[in-house]
Parts: sequence; C-alpha cells; structure tokens
Amino acid sequence: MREHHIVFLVFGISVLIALFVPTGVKEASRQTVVVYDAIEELPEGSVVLLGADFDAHNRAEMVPQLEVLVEHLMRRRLRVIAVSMWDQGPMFAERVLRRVGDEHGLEYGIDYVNLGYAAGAQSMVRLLKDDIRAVYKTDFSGNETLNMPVLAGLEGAKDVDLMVDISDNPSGPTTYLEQIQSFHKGFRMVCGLTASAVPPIMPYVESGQIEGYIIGLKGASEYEGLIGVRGLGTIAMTAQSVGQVAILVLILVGNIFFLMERRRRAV
Amino acid sequence: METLGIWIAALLTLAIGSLLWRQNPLYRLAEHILVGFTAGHLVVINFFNVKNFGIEPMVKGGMWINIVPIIIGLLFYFRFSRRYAWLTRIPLAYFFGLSGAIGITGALDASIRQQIIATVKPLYEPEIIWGFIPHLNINNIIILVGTITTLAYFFMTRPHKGITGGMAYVGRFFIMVTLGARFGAVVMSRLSLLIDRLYFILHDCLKIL
Repeated sequence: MREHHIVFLVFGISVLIALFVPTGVKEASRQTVVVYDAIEELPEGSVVLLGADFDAHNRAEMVPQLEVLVEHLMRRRLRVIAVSMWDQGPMFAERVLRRVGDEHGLEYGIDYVNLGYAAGAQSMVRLLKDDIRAVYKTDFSGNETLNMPVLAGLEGAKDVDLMVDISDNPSGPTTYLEQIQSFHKGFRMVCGLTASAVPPIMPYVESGQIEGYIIGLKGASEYEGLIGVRGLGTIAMTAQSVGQVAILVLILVGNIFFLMERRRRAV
Repeated sequence: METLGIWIAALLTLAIGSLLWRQNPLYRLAEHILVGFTAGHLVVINFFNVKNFGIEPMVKGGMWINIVPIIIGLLFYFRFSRRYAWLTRIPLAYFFGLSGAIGITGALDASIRQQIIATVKPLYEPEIIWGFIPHLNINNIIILVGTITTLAYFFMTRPHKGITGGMAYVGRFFIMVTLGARFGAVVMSRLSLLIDRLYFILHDCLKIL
C-alpha cells in the first residue's frame, strides 16, 4: 500500500462513516432564503420556467436541488414548465416532475410539463423568448404542445413570472440573461448551481440580474430545512463537512511532511 | 428490471472506483462502456434533432425553406474529400456569423453594460458608522479596486512597469484569491460526487442506510 492509497482510504472511510450521522444545516444562508422567498411570494397559478440544464455527471448536486425546488413549486400550486439546453437534464426532470406531481395530485399537461431538450443554446433561447411553441412543437414524451392547457396564455419565455435555472455550468443562467433579460428587464431569475459554478455567477447576483442562488448539496440541505423535507442534502451534510475537514487535515499533514523533508535535505 | 439496473450501476461505480487502487481490466471495461454509451446517445440525440427540426416540418408542414440549412449542414461532409474540402468553409462561416451575432447582441447588455453599472457603486455612505473608517463602504471599495487592478493585469499592450505594473501586481492577488475560491468550490463539488456514489451503494443497492 502506497501513500496515495492511505489518503484515499482515510478520506473514503471518514466520509462513509459520516453518512450514517445526518445532521443537515441549522440555518439557511441569505441567498437560499432569497430563492425561497421569490417562490413563496408568487401567487398561486403563476408560471415558472424550470431549467434542467445539467448532465448526469453532476447529478449529485443537481438532483437534490431539483427535487426540493420542484417540491416547493408544486406545493405552492405554480405552473411548472421544464426546458433544457442540455440533452441529459430532461431525463432527471421527467422522473422528479412525475413523482412529485403525483404526490401532490397534479396533472401532467395541465399543471406541469416537461418540454425536454432543444438544441441551439443561445439561438434556441432567443427563439424561446418570443415563441415557446416554435421551439417545442412536442414535449419530452412526444405530445403536441399547441393546445396544451399548461401553456395557455403564454407566448414566450419572456412572459413567465419566474425562471428557476438548475445548472451545472455558468453558461446556463448567463444564456437566459443575455438572450431574454437583455431585452425584457422584467424577466426574473433564481438559480440552483453546483459549487464550482458559483464564482462566475456571483457578479450577476451582485448586479441584481439574478435574485438569488442555492449552492450544491449545502444549498439543497438548507432548502430542505426551509420547506421541511428530508432529502439527500440533509443526509449528506455531515459527510460533506467531514470530507472537507479531512482534506484540510491532509493538506496540513502533507505540508508538514514536505517541510520536514526539505529541512532534512538542507542538513 | 429496476433492481438489475441498480446493480449494474453499482458494479460500474465500483469498477470505475477501482482505478484508485491501480489500472485494471474492470476499470477499462467500464470506461469503454461509458464512451460507447455517450457516443450512441449523441448519435440518437442528433438524429432526432435533424428529424424533428429539419425533415418533419418540411415534409409534414411544407416548410421547404428548411432545405437551405440542411444543405449547408451537409457541406460539412466535404471535409472527407481533399478536392472539395474548401466547401466546409461555407457552413463554418455561417455558424460563426450566426452565433457571433446572436451572442454579442445579448451579451452587450447582460454581461457588459449591466456589469459595468454594477461596479459603479457609492464608496461613501453617511449611514455606515462601523468599520475601520466610518462612512466608507469597504465592500464597494474592494469591488472597484479588484475590477480595475484585475483589468490592469490583463493589459498586455504595455509592459507591466510603473503605475501599470503596480496595479497589475495588486490585480494578481485578486486573481489568486478568485482561483482559491474556485478551487475550494471544485473540491466541494467533487466531494458531493463521492457522497452521491457512496449513498447510492449504501441506500439504493445494499439498503443499509
């Protein structure tokens, strides 16, 4: 067994044990509360555009956020329209929307819809802004969208009351900002982001273009606390903290050994 | 069927994880399966893109104008011919022009104008009475100094000497802090991936959590 095996083992075992001691987060951060308030303040029946802009490799952070946000949206009886610029996101959205929709007795096509993936990124969103049906003639399951009740009275994405973009890439929210908010200042947006996507998005939050965001598993855990559900976010929080402490300790130990080695060579 | 899917996923997770010990045939098998599935998935997605947005509206809806982008797209295949490879420049020029036009018109407001406005903030605020120097908004000062000095660091048309050099030197510290924050965030993200896989094996597969 070599040094890196010991590092992996210590790290893996500490995270594994911590998974059996779920604690969640005691208090939600300001940004998470902003997202919660933005959804909570919407009147019943408001239209929410849900962006499932992530791939399978980031499901660890994205799916807990998706679950908890969809739970809140459906609990508030808001009309949810799911779209995606990434091809794998709609598969996760479909599972979560159908399950939570059934739990709340909501009907597909009337209360919520998963429109699926559309290619084109910037140009697709530019068209989506003015005409949803031009981009999505059918939904994820192949149903015609032309007379779908959930889309009644809605022309384009510019008409929605709020966009909730769950994205593993900073280009997700910025595309919607550039292609919709640039032309319609009333377009409101909150985000669910992976931790690594947050730093490039922070300037847009500072400028007020994005109202708020939730970060990774920690954000999901805080949100679960706010709406009173127990999901992977709550279960994983101790493991996340223990893992981060383990990394800090390993960095410290590594540096101590490095300094000792350098001193020994100097002598 | 779902149980079978969960067990296959768990075995593939362990196979990929086995790389932590050393390279082995199980890891390579799982890696090749992933590459194969990804390629297959992309082929299907792109096939339906062309069918749904190009062919069907043309055949069923009479939108014969779609023949133009389809022909432009097909020109890409001339890259396999030495004689006619130059024809691929046409679709490339089309895509560069289109994406540039759409991207820039949107970015001008959201990512440039709005961001410049966001850096113009009051440095002096009478209601602030705390901090090292009362009435000074420290956050706004940091944003202003950080923006100017970081831009100075990327100012390449003059040598980094004198005032420009001093500003670039300060800017380098802001960049290092940003990179540190990003590294911390990436660590947090990758840790979440490990937790998700462990939870999947313990909860969905072994059902002991």
